[in-house]
Amino acid sequence: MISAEDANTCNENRNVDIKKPMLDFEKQIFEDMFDKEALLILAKEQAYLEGGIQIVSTRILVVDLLKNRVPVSHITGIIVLRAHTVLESCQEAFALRLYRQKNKTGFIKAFSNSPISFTFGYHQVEKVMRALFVTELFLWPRSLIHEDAVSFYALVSKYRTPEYAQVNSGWILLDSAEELFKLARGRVFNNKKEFDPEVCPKWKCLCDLLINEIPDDVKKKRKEELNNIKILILCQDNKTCSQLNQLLTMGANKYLLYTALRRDLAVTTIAKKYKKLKSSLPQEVKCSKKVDKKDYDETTKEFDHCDEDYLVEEENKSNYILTLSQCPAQTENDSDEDQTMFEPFSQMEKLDITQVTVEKPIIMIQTFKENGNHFSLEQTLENMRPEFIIMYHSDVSAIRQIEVFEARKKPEEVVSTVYFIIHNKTVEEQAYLTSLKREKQAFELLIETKSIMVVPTYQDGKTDEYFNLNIEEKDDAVDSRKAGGQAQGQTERPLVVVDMREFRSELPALLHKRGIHIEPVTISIGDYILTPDICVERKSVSDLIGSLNSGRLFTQCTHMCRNYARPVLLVEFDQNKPFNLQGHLVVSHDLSAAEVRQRLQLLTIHFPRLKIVWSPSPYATADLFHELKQGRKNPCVNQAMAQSDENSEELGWERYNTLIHDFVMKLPGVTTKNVSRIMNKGKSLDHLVTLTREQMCGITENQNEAETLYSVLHMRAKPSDAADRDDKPSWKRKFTGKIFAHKKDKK
Amino acid sequence: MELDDDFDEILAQINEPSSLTSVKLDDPTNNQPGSSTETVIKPVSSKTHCVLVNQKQRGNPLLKYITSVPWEYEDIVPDYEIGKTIGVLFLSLQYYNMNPDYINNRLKELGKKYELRVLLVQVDLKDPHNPLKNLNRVCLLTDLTLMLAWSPEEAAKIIENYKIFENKPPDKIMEKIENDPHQKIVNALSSVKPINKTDALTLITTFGTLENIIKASESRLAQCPGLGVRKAQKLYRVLHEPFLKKENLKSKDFDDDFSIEDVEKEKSEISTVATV
Repeated sequence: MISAEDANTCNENRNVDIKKPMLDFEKQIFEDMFDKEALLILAKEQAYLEGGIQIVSTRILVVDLLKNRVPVSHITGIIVLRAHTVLESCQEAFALRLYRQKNKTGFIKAFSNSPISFTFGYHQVEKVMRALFVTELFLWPRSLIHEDAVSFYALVSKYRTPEYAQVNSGWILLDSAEELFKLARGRVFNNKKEFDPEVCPKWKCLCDLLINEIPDDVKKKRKEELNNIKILILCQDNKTCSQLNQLLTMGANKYLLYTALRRDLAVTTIAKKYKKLKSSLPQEVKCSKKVDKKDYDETTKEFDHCDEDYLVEEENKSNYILTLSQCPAQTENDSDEDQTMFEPFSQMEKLDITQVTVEKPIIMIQTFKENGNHFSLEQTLENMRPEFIIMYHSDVSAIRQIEVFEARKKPEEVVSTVYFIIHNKTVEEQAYLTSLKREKQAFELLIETKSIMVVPTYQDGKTDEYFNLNIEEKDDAVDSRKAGGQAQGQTERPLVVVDMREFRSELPALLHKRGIHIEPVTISIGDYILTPDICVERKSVSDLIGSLNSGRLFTQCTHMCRNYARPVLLVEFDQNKPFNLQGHLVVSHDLSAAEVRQRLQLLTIHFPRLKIVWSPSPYATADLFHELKQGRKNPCVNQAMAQSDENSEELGWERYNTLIHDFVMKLPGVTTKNVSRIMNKGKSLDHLVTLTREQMCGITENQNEAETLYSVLHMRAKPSDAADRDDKPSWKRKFTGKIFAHKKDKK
Repeated sequence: MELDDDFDEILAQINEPSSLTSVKLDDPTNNQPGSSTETVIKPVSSKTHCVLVNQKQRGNPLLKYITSVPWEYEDIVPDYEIGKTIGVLFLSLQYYNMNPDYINNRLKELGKKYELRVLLVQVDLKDPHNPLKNLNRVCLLTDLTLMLAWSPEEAAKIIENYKIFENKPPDKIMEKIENDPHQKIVNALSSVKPINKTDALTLITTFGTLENIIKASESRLAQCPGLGVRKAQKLYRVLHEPFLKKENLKSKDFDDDFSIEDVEKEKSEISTVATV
């Protein structure tokens, strides 16, 4: 079994838990033998039994383990990916715990490719190993870059290169901004105020590489045809990809002009070299504050992009594929920057790169992580097998991936050449060197830790010693634990019923650690059922504020109080945040602290039976639950599932029959103030219908409300829409008038 | 100190002597879902327009922060009495740490009086978690509502709020409701579980008025397009339910209700648990 927290290891999306939308990393994959029907539990159990390699998302695995759907004893082993994240998300540790308790022979292997993650905090490595039940640590430090495998191209440029055509905002009032602006302008317009932008130095270098250096290398050193060459250009973000794509297909100058126009730069005159560019462009553009797009529409059809659409596309597209165009070789001299030799390889848009049989040189432009997918580079390398890789930006993890790719190549295969384009003596270079240094230090730390680390023998969980540490000795203490004369004691294992949706939080895992058995079920009322009487609704502080505001909490408390003897509202704070209400109210909500407090108190007034429990952290909650269960019966799972607001009739908490009460509450003319009078004296709907207006008034003690209620019962109800507004029947007008007058009373 | 608008309402209450001595049945706060139905025995005070304060509270810093509502010293059982239905016990965590038994006695005295019993705890310890854990448990088992304050000002605000909101309807914390009467009827009808919005609209168009729907027989309801036997059955049953439940007004004590002595005994019997 492979436990993956990252959806990007999965190829398909299957949503098993359809009640709540799944987060990105909680998508699940099943082997090919499954289709939609396999979502049935029985089929799932069979699937587990079939064996093979299963890739499962952790949350699902936890639930399946708890429900014994997984044949735990048959599992040969579990592989955990991205092991360095195991402490933040508690689910992996929980799943492994459950696995180890019942299976002492299967293996657990965990992998991580992020040595730096282990340098934070204290004893991070030991903690992670403990959580994973592994006792051995293996380190494979990646070797640093060798001279012969990589060449550095250094360029002269003292400044970082801002996009010249960007429009500034806000801070332009500062002096230094003025300076910057002047400088930036100076790079776009020359002293004759002509449009003559400075070309980004990296571009020159890139074009040089693509047009001259690589083809030379191929012809001379490799003695190959240019047609079979594949080049991969890697950069940091989608915007750069798009920029490079444009650059290569249009040529530097045209691209700059195009961008200037697209971004509404006021271009009055353009320098000589641009005059050759597209005779369709007028030689002298009319002077105006803003370049009027309409003027250009006829003459510059290819600039006819819709800005917003284009920008959106720019953001989303993360790879481009180009090839050498069929244009004849330039006869003019090399300084002519208008030559473009590349065109988009349009047939390739959606194709898998391995499908390419056409003999054309391919240039692919891609980001390091395609929209957050860590494995996209690896996939591209595997599929494309580029002979040349150009790092337009530098990234250590990308380099490591390339190194692995190289190492895995068969000996016959040619070693790729990697080019780096970095501005010399700049922040960019510094940042890259620093990240290299950090990686080296991380490995040094890990090596040192490994040499002095102490690993207890029970850490692998293969004996029960580890698990019994946290569970109290049950047998001896039974007698002294009898409280209040309760005969039923700790003879059966403590059980808590937990709502399926609660598994996102740490609490179920913590409860389990304390030796309390968890039963995950879908329950409609409450989140945790501790005993047949105690039902707990768990709210984090932000949930509390949100649901107090929306009215949801009121509804939940109504149901809880109707169905359980001891309804509990658990307010759980985050242990990393201050333990008080004030500290939490800075975030988003439009309620002030005072309002939250008022609403909470209002809730307690209306639900005097509701108990509030304040817990500083999930650990404290687990403690508390444990104590509350002492000497009390376990809850009944079936009963918990069956509880809904429908069958609360059987319980004695309510004075009125709940269904009819809720119905009457929703009628116009009925308010929270008069509903009890109506319910007490109204006897039933049948009776209510027979009353006259005066009699109705006698019950509600309010003329308006009586009138409204009377009308509702006896008059034709019509939906109010625009058409009706003009010829509203008189009773309808009376309605609305009364409703508004009504409102003043209800504060 | 400026007074809230709600102060007017409190003053207004003074002119309604009937509400002070009216029988439990008509008290609007009594019959909300979740309220206990036992009758409360306590002497009727004539001063329910203000908060009543126990003499023992003299010197408590929170008193000087109660500015929005009037208060007076009075001979009462809890520390603060708000209206007839709310009784508040005050406890500072520091004090609790030094005298853990103090609260037991107060709880014993308080017994089951008041509809809403509040334990107002002032968190004045740096590390409050252990004593708070105990108090959480105690409140849960002896039927008290625990409210936390982190300063005397906050504690005072809590007392004030209880006074201000004492008789207010819960509209602020309920889900926002439609004001359109037609929509309300649709909502009401669709609140009966198998009936959905479309069914509700059909019913209204078929029968015209609510009266007709109520008077219709079960078979007539079933004939309504889209309804069918099952839905008609359910709807008929609900619409003709009597408002009041049959066995009613009996005081329901919880099966394993605890007295404070039991809670304390239990606490001492629980051994310390190894924490992870």
